Amino acid sequence: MSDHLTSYLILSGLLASIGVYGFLERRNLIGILISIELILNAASINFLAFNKFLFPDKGMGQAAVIFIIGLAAVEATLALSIILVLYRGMTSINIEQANNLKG
Amino acid sequence: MAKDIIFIGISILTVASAIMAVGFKRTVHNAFSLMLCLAGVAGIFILLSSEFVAVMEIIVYVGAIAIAIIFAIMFSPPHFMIQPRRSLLKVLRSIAIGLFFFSAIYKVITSTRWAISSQEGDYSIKHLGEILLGVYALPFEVIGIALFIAILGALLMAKKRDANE
Repeated sequence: MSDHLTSYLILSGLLASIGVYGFLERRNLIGILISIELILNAASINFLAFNKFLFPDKGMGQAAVIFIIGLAAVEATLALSIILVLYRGMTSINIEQANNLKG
Repeated sequence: MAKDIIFIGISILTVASAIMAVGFKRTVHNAFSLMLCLAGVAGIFILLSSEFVAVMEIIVYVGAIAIAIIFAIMFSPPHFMIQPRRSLLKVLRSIAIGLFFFSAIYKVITSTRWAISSQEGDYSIKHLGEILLGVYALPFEVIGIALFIAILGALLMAKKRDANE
């Protein structure tokens, strides 16, 4: 089972669908950020599975996952500072109340 | 055989903690479940024989991003006072969209004929470093600049505004 490509792909598909569900269901910005992290991790599992089972050069997929991790760090930094500013301005991080863009 | 048992165990751990990471009402529980889930993903990376990436996953995700999320939770308002109820219709709609997404992915995975090639190869950090500074040198630099600008932007946004501004 751990030697088949499809089992890894199904695992990452499960993670990505849980992320999509959480992205639609949560109303709290931090919950949405957590869901995005889940989707990015599903993409990383896919990259490494294809790297191991399909691609001849075994370093390329690992490099792609390093880039994904770096971009996830960028995204988390910006999202958290936006949460901080939003809380300071609106005293709530519920996205349904954050519908005006007055600075 | 032992590898299969480890794979099934880590998969169950990862999926269960991912469900907890979106399912619990309290955000702190979500963040801790996310840490467990990321540790499981790192285990999957080791099973895919990419040990360096697994270590980076632990350091960057569990060590930095999850801690930053917990910081943000501590800065944001206490959640037990404003407990917004999601209407059942919207929850069911989200579940339906998630199930549809998964069934589409499952169909694609099972109906494709994958051209499996050899699993042997150079997985070493030395080879990875040669790729990062050779073929992928430009994306590597762009990631560095993006991180720098993100840190600058975060500092600028989080800075306290002056009273007369």
